[in-house]
Amino acid sequence: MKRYTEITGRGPLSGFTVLELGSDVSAAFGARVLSDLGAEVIKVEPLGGDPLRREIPLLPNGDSAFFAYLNRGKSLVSLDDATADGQYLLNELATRADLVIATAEAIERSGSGWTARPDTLVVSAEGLTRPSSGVRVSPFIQQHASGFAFHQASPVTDPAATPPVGCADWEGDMVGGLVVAIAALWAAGSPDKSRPGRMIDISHEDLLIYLLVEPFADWQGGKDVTDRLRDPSKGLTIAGGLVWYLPCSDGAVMVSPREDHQWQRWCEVMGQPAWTTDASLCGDRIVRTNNAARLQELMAQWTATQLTRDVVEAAKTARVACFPVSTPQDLIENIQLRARQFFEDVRFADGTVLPMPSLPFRFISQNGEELPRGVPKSAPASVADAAKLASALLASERTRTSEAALERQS
Amino acid sequence: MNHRILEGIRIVDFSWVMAGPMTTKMLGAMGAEVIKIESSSRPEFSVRDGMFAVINNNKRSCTLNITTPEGQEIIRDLVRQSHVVVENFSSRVLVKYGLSYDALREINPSIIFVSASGMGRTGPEKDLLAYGSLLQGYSGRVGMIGKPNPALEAMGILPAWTDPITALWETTAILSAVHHWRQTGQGSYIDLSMLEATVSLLPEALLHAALGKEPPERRSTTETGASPSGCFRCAGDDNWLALSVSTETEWRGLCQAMNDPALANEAFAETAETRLAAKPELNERVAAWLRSRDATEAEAALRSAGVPASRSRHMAEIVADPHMRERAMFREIDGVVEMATLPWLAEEGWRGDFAPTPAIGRDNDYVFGTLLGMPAERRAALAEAGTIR
Repeated sequence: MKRYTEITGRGPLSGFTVLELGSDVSAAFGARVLSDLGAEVIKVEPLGGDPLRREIPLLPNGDSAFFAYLNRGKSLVSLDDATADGQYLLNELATRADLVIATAEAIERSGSGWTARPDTLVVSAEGLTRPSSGVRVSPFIQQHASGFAFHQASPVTDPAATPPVGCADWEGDMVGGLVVAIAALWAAGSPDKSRPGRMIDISHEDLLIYLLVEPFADWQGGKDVTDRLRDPSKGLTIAGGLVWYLPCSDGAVMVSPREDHQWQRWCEVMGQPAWTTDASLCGDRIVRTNNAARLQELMAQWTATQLTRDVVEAAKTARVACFPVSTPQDLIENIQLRARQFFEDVRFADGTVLPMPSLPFRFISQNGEELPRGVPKSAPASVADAAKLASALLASERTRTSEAALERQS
Repeated sequence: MNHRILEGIRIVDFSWVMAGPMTTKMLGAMGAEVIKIESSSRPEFSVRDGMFAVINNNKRSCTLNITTPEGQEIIRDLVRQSHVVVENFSSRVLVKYGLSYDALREINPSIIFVSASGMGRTGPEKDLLAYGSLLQGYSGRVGMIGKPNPALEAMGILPAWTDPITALWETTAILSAVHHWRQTGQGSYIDLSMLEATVSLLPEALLHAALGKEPPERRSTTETGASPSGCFRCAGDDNWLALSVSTETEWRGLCQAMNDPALANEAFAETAETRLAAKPELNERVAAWLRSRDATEAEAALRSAGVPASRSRHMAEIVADPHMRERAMFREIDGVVEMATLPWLAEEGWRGDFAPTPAIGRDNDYVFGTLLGMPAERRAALAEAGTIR
């Protein structure tokens, strides 16, 4: 198939073609991840453009930076699927695609007669097994329905005054994008060439529940998962380790000297080596967990007089796990992320250049070829350009069809 | 239809705690043979409590002391006949025990080697000791969820986040590498950073910062641009309901559900913009209305009036939800309710293979005897010497 996207010629998914339909952050992000890995992704938009083109933050010219994050590297085709031309082009694109990623609404609109459809991931709020009630389900509501919000505010000292709380940023939807990418790769691993292809049902609700590993383990283990009340004196152990949040004079750090030898070195960093001989205060992991509130108070007396940078450096030297609590600006300037070329510059039509995260891994093929990171990219095409591409594709498909017919006649 | 797309793929799994085990659980659910390398001297492996059983399905367990030359030789034999290696060691351990990619590719050039570490294997901070919980601070997400506080409450520290989302990125990377290997015969090296895995899911904050702005609202506590929108307390001890109003239809639905004629006539009621400007006041009105109401009844009334709303549900309620059972999100297997091993639903109700978490060392005979062809006497001698343990 003719490549419509920027040709990189590289990436483990080179040669795999995806058609994306409908407006959904998870579908768009999942398809973008596949595109970053070398797949060719063609995103079909309505004539007015994907509503996510209006999502903040916006550039002065009205372009959405968030839309660009979700869609850079894709070919954008804007068409009216209610017209014969639109349907013809959609069908041609589907015929040549290996996989469709679509919202339930987009699949419903295309109708059961869409026989050219390859294997299809269908993204919806609650899955295809429950007919839609017609009531909008926003990501915020979804995080409460799925239990994520309740368990993210558990345990707490005062449940009556502490509402359940959802994910940061667009995380709930972005993580849906990762599930879309995995399901796409699963489908690609067992390609079914029959058309119409299989329907693979991805529900936002399911995937958020899937992440609730500890609450499910607690429920399975017979614990009362409905009770959010905690013992305020005890510390929180996460994945086996005690963690502290300590305010500094100019910010805060989080630290986890969980093993005895790490605790000993941490006490030295704080200038309190004598603490390690006080068995009743901090003798072992269990004692430290039970005395966490008291220890927090003592440690905070020291950190409150220190600069974040100094605490982190001293801990680093002592090989104690300790990091500052970053702001978004800190992340953009972070030396580790910069050294690994995590951010790539995305250039917009008005000349604005914004740093955006790339894939969170380096991928190096056995022959030494590395998937590029930190390479400047263009923001996605405008709606007008997407409509132009649709017209050009339509013309070329019609020519190709006529030529094929002529060839058959001769 | 073949759901088990990784059948025939063998994975040597050195990972522990959460991200790696969740990854290999998913790969096992797709048919891969996962050989988990354990050690009875590590409490995590020997105790197997808490979430261990939830994230270690679909694996074989063997016990090996990889600090001994004999143990390392056995690993090399195993890698020779495997396709993927998954690890989250410290940089020091990798090199010290001869388990780095450079060492193992000498034995099996087309191996897919996946390294998940806190900061990645390159860069000035590559050797820093890091845990997923701390990376939730370093990535900045804790400050975007709630106000960071010494008690670590309601700021996204629990349940674990960085580990599960790292597992999703790691699974994506491995499936891509297997696809690549099947197409080209080429193995690969994947160097995954948990910090980057977390930061890449925070575009709104990063893009606003890059433009010198701040997001107008926290998405953790409200739907941006909707009004009213939030999580409100209902009657009872700890019952909460989230609702969000964006459109005119939803607004009319809310007025109908609240049965408050005065509300629709307030000055702020006119447009979505005026309602957004009056969000604190509107949220207060909703809070007062819901405070004495039964959450279930309010949810039903709001939904039937077309208002996006949901109670803040907990795991016990979700497991009992017939909709979840219908979708096979939870199934009873040998008398135990288990969660689906994959987060999507394929045709024929398939949600991933499921085999219970193995007992430690259960598959020693299979791995060391059947796979590696080691005679029983040799295995006994290695067990006696503490290499198989």
